[in-house]
Amino acid sequence: MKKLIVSMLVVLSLVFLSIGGIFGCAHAEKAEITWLVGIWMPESLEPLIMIFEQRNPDIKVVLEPYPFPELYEAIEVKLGAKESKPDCFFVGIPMAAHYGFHGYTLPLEKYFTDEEMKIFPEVLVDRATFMGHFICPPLNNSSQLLYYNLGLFEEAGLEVPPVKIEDRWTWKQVVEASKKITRDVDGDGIIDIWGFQFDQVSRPYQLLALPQSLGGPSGVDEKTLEVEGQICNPEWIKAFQFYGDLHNKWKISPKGIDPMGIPPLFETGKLGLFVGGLWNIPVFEPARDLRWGVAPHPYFEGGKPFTPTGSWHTAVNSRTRYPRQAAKLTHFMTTSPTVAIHFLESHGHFPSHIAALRHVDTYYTYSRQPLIGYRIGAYESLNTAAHRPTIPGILAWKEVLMSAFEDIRNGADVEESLTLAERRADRILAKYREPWKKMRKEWLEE
Amino acid sequence: MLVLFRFYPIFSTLLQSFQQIDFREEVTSKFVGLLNYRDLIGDPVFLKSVQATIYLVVITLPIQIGLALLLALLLSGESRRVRILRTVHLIPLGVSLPIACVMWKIMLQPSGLVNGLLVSFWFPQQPLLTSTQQAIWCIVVIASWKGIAFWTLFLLAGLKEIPMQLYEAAKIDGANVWQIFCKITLPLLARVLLFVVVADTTACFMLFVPMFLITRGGPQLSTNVLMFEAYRSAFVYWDMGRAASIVSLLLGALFLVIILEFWVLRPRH
Repeated sequence: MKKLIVSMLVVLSLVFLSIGGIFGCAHAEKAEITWLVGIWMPESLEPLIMIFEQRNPDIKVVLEPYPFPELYEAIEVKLGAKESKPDCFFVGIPMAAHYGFHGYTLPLEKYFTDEEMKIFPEVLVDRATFMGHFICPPLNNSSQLLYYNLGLFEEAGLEVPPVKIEDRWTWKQVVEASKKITRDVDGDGIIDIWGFQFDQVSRPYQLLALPQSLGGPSGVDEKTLEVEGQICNPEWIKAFQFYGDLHNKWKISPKGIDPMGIPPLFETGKLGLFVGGLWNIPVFEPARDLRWGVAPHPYFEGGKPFTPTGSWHTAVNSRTRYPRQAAKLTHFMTTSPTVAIHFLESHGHFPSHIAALRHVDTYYTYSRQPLIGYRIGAYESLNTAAHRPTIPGILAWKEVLMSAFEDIRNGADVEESLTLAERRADRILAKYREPWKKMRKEWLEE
Repeated sequence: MLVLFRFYPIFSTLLQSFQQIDFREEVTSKFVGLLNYRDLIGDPVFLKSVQATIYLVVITLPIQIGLALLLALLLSGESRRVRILRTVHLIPLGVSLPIACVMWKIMLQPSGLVNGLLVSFWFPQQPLLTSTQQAIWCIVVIASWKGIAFWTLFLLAGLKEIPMQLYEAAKIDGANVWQIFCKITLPLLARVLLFVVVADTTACFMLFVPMFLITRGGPQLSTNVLMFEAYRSAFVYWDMGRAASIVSLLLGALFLVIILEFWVLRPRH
């Protein structure tokens, strides 16, 4: 009996202390804004946060970084549980419609003037708008380059890919060069130096540009969420047969290594050619033993150049207890060209801000290797970018495609894998179709 | 406590398996009866998951139990060397499963340590995690590397409970090693063995971390066990009803298997 009374007293004390804590927080002077970000951002964000906090002494910003694969899951779990934290969170642009559909995001158009909206490329504003509401202003953008190892090219007696956009290599030229670079150095039957690999191996972000370069569709109809004929079609089969052949027929690309393992292969001189993001430029620059350069992303001969792209945006949680303060932080981080140039010059984060893109296009630093890569990226992001679909259920759609691409990489039949992926995507998106059509209809009628 | 942490979650999951998410008004759940279960039966991905799970359990269980018992017998001595070896064999237990998975993933890459050793001993390079046939065996190795060390502890404790006088009496009566093992060790170890078999069966059915960190269910769904498919259904596909039905079926299957194991391994006096 005595033990029961003591236990009850302990539990009641804990409950009252918690309630006191909650009231305490509510009456605190500073609004604490938690910002869920990618793990690659805190170093470049911290000095900006200091400036922001100095200008806004009633706001404190706390960063919550996550590695890329876990970032989406963390957002899904926290916001799906209808929590008020985080107050702000990163949005990979294909996720915008998904977050808007589930009501995770606060409309922000009232915090941005018409003039301020013009500082972003129109295509990014369009993609950040859900049913007429501007939900996530762009922070950074991305594009892709063809990186080459100068030393391996010289050893193989090859000419490097040209840096001019109009002379960009075809995929056939990439394969021919890679075959000459790939070799088993010590004769033990294990290939030591590979010819070519993609950075974000088997990810839709990286590979959707392949079928689109052949005139193929994007993988789903964004208006109706139908996938029939969008994944299993002649262009996709041809593009992904090429992807499978890189690993299984020509054997110029390594299997079994995930995206994190690919840049180190290039950095240590074990990869001759590498299609990767602009974010690799500051990674490879300090590597003393690596002689390298950049060129434009290849394309299929007879097709059109298409390049992977994906902008990182930031949104405000619709359930935040500090909407005004969270919107203020978002506004500060996205509207200033100085902030955008800081992201670029401090850590190589490619800007989405038009003024910052003009800076890249005109400033002499970006006219020489390897920083000319940013200038190439600026052109590609505005002219050849293959935007991924922005739909509810995007995470599931992406996962289904990734499984199919990885199976093809491991030698599975291309048509069978794409057929299965189409069937799985169809089943997953079925529950979103009717409400999506209804939402679009209501918005169009408004 | 039992009701709060055991029965309530099971009941709640079962209830959720009869529902589907409905986005039409707000995000709600609507009752659909057995629709989720009917959809599963006709889904080739689910059937492949069942196949992968059965395969994993059928291979892993005998390997782990057999090797754990052998190791326990070898480590039951009292010499200084055996006591040192007993400590060494506990090393895998000190490594958390996620860390172990990351380490094994690096070693099992086509140009990783395992292939390096194979090639050094004139074996051909193996596809390992990139092969539909070999990937599941890689998972068995990883799970057993930790599992054997763990189950050996229980079996070792069980062996220590058997009175030494029985072994001495048997030796005096002229029994050989095999007879001693069958007539004395196994029967007296039955209770502990039953616990280990049941617990290991549960662990094998519920295995998830290596698939999450290493194979992601591939290649070609060969390691897409039911737990991983349930996770993907819930947190990637946003299909809680499907996830709940998978977990309910898994629980039902596990329950039946355990009852079978209790019946087969029941003490016969």
